Amino acid sequence: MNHPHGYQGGYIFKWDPAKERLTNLGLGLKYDSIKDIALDRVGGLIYGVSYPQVHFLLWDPGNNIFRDLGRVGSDHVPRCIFSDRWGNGYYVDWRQRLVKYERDSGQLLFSRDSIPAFPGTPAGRIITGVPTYAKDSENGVIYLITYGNMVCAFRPQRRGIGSVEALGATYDMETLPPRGYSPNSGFANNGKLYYFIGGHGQYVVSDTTLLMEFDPLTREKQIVLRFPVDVVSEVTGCDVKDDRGNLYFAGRRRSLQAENMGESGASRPFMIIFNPTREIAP
Amino acid sequence: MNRKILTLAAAFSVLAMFRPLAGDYKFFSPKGSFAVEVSLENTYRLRLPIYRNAITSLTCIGDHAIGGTRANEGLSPFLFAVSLTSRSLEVVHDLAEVLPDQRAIQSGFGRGGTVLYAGTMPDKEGASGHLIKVRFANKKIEVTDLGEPVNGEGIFAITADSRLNMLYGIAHPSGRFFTYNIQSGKVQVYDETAATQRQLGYYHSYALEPEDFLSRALVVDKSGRVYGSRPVNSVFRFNPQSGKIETLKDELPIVWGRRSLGRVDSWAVAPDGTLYGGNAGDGQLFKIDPVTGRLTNLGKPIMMPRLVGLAFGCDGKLYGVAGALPGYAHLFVYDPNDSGFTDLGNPRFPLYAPEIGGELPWRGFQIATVTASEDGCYIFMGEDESLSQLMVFPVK
Repeated sequence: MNHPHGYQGGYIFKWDPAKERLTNLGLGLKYDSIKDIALDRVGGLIYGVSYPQVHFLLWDPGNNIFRDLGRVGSDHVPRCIFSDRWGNGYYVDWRQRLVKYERDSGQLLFSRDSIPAFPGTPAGRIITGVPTYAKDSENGVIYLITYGNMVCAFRPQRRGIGSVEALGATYDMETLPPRGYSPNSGFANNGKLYYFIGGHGQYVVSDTTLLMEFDPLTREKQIVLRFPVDVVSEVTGCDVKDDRGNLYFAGRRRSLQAENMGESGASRPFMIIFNPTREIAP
Repeated sequence: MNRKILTLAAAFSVLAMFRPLAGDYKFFSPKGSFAVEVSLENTYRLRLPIYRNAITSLTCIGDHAIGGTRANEGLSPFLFAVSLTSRSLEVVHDLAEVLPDQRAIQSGFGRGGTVLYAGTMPDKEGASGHLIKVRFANKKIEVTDLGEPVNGEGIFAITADSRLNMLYGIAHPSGRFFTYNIQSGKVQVYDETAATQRQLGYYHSYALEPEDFLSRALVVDKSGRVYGSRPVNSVFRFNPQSGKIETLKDELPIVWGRRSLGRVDSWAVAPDGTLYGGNAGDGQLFKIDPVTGRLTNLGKPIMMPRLVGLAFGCDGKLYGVAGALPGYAHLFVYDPNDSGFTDLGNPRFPLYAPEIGGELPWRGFQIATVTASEDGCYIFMGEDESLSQLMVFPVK
């Protein structure tokens, strides 16, 4: 809205890969963009969050219903909205408390407690919430990584919020809260969680992006790969896995040429495919 | 010499390339500003629950901001008190405990000494709103039901004249003006400000409801006359001495094609007695000279419609909030004596949330009400959200 050229607002689209058909499902909040969406695979609802006003949005394309459930955040719009096996939708409020759209009751529920954070985590990081999630569908666990770099196991339930267990830092450090930034994660078929650390100037090893492996059972973690920032400077993408167990991420690398083009062209994008259990053919 | 000038010019050009590109989005965050967490769902702390907390009425008594809220359908509103000193919500009063089946306290407050008066909007269409007396003392809010001034109608706006012991209001959905004598309880209803059948047809053709065209605020001038807007796009003036209502010659300012949206959104009285108002339709600021009755269009502070709140600070400047859905708020300041408008931008103040260890930045997007502390040294803004907070900043 305040952009010099104006901005109409974010639309939601449906892409049917079989028919190669794109359907426009309409505008969310006028002048607000849509920062993330999640699907209810049971009932066909679509959950979304608007930017910058942090409104929890709900589309029911089957019944042509759009609902604005209201503002749930502060100054920052957390990156991720996600769903569970029953089709309930989840987000976080400004206190990093889970906010659930419960399909059975058609209402928003707020967790009484915040998702765990390390002592000393600044409020400015708390409001940034959960930048990534990855699902272990077999065991009914959704792994969350907070902006304060805490790995958590969230066990959703059909009704009510469910439990959240703190599993530790994304990277072990002597001083807490830990540094780093992980707006990405994937749960592999070997039962382990993978995520990259780095980006937005928040690296645990100078100018190096790390690919980490985290075992939820033992809570042990290890560095799998290291990348200098001119190879991988930041990675996004959550819970994208194909039938063969390949994990997909969006990567970007620093580029001097791009930096010279101005603020928003300072890197080069590419796709990352990773599978810890098998070789991926080029 | 020319070479030196060229070198300097080239150096400045290079430096200019490194200016911050995000400068267009600097927020209004003055030193000493803060937000108070008034609303939070599912908490053991004293907070207002979701969908019952849009701060639609707001005033200040001493160290406390007193608010009245609007709820969603089927839910009841609250009255609350926030301490400036402790910067926290201290008192909450569920209106349903005294007065059930009401949805909103959106009239604004009229004041008689330390007593406040407000009107309510019923939850069900065709039911009656009530006048209420609100007393805040010893960290307690007491509410007294003063009855239904207009049977079958809600109370959309209210103001008080303590000199005459009178309340003045706008009934919803008709738009009729009414007076209420605080001492005797006598009510007088005036039809002149109501929308005619023809006008209702005109509004219907634009899919406009009474919420879209009734006067959202009333004001009393120094000689006791009452001002508000009436359909279509006009300003009326009630003279309590004669009991007559007149329509001012000048209409509210318009943007071509959008006259149907014209109505008063907010008022503020300047120290010299000039009335300043905001037009909801296109967000124009205007002033009325109460002596001549002439209305002057001062223009639009920002590009969006609505001008939901106005208050004079102790610096003699007028602070206001322009912009609302489908856009969002910009705070502006208007200096009647000098520089005109300054768009202060979107407010972002620190909010203290004890459990998460510190202050978090809070942006005000949808704001329903603006008021000043009694000394004018603080401006208060009440949000209009599903979870609304109170935002406060000092006047320099």
